[in-house]
Formats: sequence, C-alpha cells, structure tokens
Amino acid sequence: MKKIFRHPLVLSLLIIGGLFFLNYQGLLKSPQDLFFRLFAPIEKIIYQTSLKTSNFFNSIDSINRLNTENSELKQENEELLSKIIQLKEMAWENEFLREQMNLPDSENRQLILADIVGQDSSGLGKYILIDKGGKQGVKKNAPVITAGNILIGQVIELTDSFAMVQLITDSNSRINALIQESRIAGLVKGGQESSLIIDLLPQREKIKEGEVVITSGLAGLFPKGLLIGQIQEVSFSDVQISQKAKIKTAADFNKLEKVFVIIKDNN
Amino acid sequence: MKPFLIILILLIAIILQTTAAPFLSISGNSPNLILVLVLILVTFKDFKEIWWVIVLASLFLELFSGLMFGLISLSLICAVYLIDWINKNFSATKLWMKTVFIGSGILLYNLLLIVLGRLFHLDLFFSLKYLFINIIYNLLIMIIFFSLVYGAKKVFYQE
Repeated sequence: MKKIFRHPLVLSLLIIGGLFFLNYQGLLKSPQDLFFRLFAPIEKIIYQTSLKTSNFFNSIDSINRLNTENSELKQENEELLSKIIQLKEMAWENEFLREQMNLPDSENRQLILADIVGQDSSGLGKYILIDKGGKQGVKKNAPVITAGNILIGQVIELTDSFAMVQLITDSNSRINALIQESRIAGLVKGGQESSLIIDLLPQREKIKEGEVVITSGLAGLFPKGLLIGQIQEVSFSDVQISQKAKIKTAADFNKLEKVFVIIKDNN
Repeated sequence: MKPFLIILILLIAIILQTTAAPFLSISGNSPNLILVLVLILVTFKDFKEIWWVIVLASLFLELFSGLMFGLISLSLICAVYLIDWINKNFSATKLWMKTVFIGSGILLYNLLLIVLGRLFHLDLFFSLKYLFINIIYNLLIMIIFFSLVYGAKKVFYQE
C-alpha cells in the first residue's frame, strides 16, 4: 500500500488534489497574492514593452491602409459631430427634467483604474490579470470597462491586491445585451478567436449590420448601457428558432493597457 | 541540472508566457512555453526524477489561469506521464523521434484539457484547425529551444 503512494504519478496527483482542496477553502489566496506581488513589477514592464512593440509592428503593417481609413474616418467624424450636438441638447433636457422630478444623478459611478499585468496562461481562456484587488475595493463579478464606457469583462477571482478578469470574448462569458436602435434583446457570448456572437435574437426581427450592441442591464450583473460592439454579420436560417449575429467588438483587446473596474453603480 | 536553475527557468517561462507570448498569437494560438519545456525535459529524464518539476510547472500555470483549478494540472501531469511511458518503451534517441513524442504530448494535453473542461461543463473553444496550428506552433518553439541549448552547449564545450 505504501508503495502506491510513493509512485511519482500518484504523489503528483495527491499534491494537486491537496492544492485543489486548499484553493477550494480559499487558503491559496495569500500565497497567490504574494507570488503576484513579487513578480508583478517585472510582468508589468515586459507586458507593456511587448504591447508597445506589437503596436509598432502593427502600425508599420497598416501604413498602406491609412489613407483610405483616414478619409472614411473624416466622413464618420462629420456625422458624429452632428450627432454630438443633438445628444448634448438631449442631455441638457434630460438633466433639466431629472432636476424637476428630483431623480438621482444618472452618472453616479465609482471607478478604479487598474493596469494589466498579464494574460491567461492556458491559451484556451481569455482572461487578464489586473493590479487591483480586494484591498482597493474590487469585488467578485464587478464589471470591467475601458475608456468610452466599453465593456471589457468581469472580475471572476480576486486576491488582496490582484484580480483575474474574464474577458467578454471568453467562450464561457454570457452577457444580456440589447441592440440599441431596434431594442431587440439577445445573449452575447464569446466566439472563435476573440470574436463575439449575439444569440437568441427573435427570428422575425430584421437586424441591420452596423447597429450598436449595448448591455441590457438584465440579471443585474452589468449596468445598462455599456457599449459592447456593432453588428457585423447576421446569420439567418429558417430551421433555427432564433437568429445569430457576429459582433465587431468596440474594444481592441490586443491594445489594452489600462482598464477601469466599476466598484459602485447607482444605475 | 540543479533544482534552483530549473525553478528559475520555469519562472522566466511563466512570466514570458503570460506577458509576451499573447502578442505572438497566430489565429488565437499563443506558444505554451511551460508545456514545451516540460515535454522536452521528459524526453531526456525519467518521470521519477522530474515529477516535482511537473507539479511546480502546473501550479504556475494554474496561478495565472482563470480556468477551474486543477484542470491544467491534471491534463499536464497525465499527458507528460503518458509521453514518459511511450518514451521508455520506444526510446527516442533521434531529434525527429523526440519531435514526434513532443507533438503527441501537445496533442494529448489539449485533448485532455478539452475533455476535462466538457466534464466540468466548461465551454472551451476547440477546433481541428486550432489544434493543428497549436501543435505546429509549439513544435517550432521546441526547435528554437533545442537550437538554443545545442548552441550554448557548443560554445561552452569549445571553451
């Protein structure tokens, strides 16, 4: 009997079993935090250097496309400017009405800025490690966004000073979403190679490419109105009960350096 | 090789794997440095001698992963043990044989991860194209490692 326990395979599996138990009890959090704290400074430097190098090579690669992209963006900019003017007017009206009706401020959101320290080690999941944790007020399931109210993901694990964020492109991520213009609700989930899919869209509804997808606020996990992306391609089939569409993510996940964790939201 | 040196190499590998490697991704595949290192090691040494290295390597991978704790460790340990068993029975002396064994190790590791993931109701993305690119990419990393080691050996041997 003793011989079995001395077998290296059994011994390895027993140690992993023990670690699994310790992790389940939450006893691995402190050593994990210490490990991250020891190596986070080096990780941050290497991560940011790699990001800058990658951006540099990407910019060289995209030089040829810049001219066409530039003229397209100029046109889009003009359209957006007129929209901003309309929205400013509406925001002013909205604020005025809120004051008249004594409603609470809609922008009562508390954020924490965090640096990305590393990414997932398995390659199969889409996770990032950030340098803010429980001590800074980060809680499990807290939404993570980037500049422009763009949804990035959700905190799934945390230690005192670090948190693991599951990106919305991960295949296990599920978000209740809404197509902004047509108000059609669906479920956004991670697809292949960092793509996103919106599923469970009613069969009869007509969905246009380019429509904006936002969080619906259903289930209470994510606040309402966070930007997810734009409809890129609709796949329609008579056999299926619902429609699916591919989403072009609003955030560029390969260029992420800093993110915000929402620690309080009154919406 | 001294244990201290092995731990240092594993630490450097895990840091590079979670920081620099994701930027070298091809079709969603980034190199798995730890897996390649452990598989190279097992084609040279007996599982009995290096079992603690494999446990340590899998622990490092688990720490930096959002997947359920234990999935990576189980897949890695079982894949490495099977490759060690094959290596003992058909001892790999030539580089092409080692390449085949390491390639099989990468395939086994990925398959075990997918199967265990499904068992625990995890929706892990998997396709034959992904698997093929993953194996080829990691084998390329293996060849780079081998070249580095042989290059270093030549330099030190001449001195």
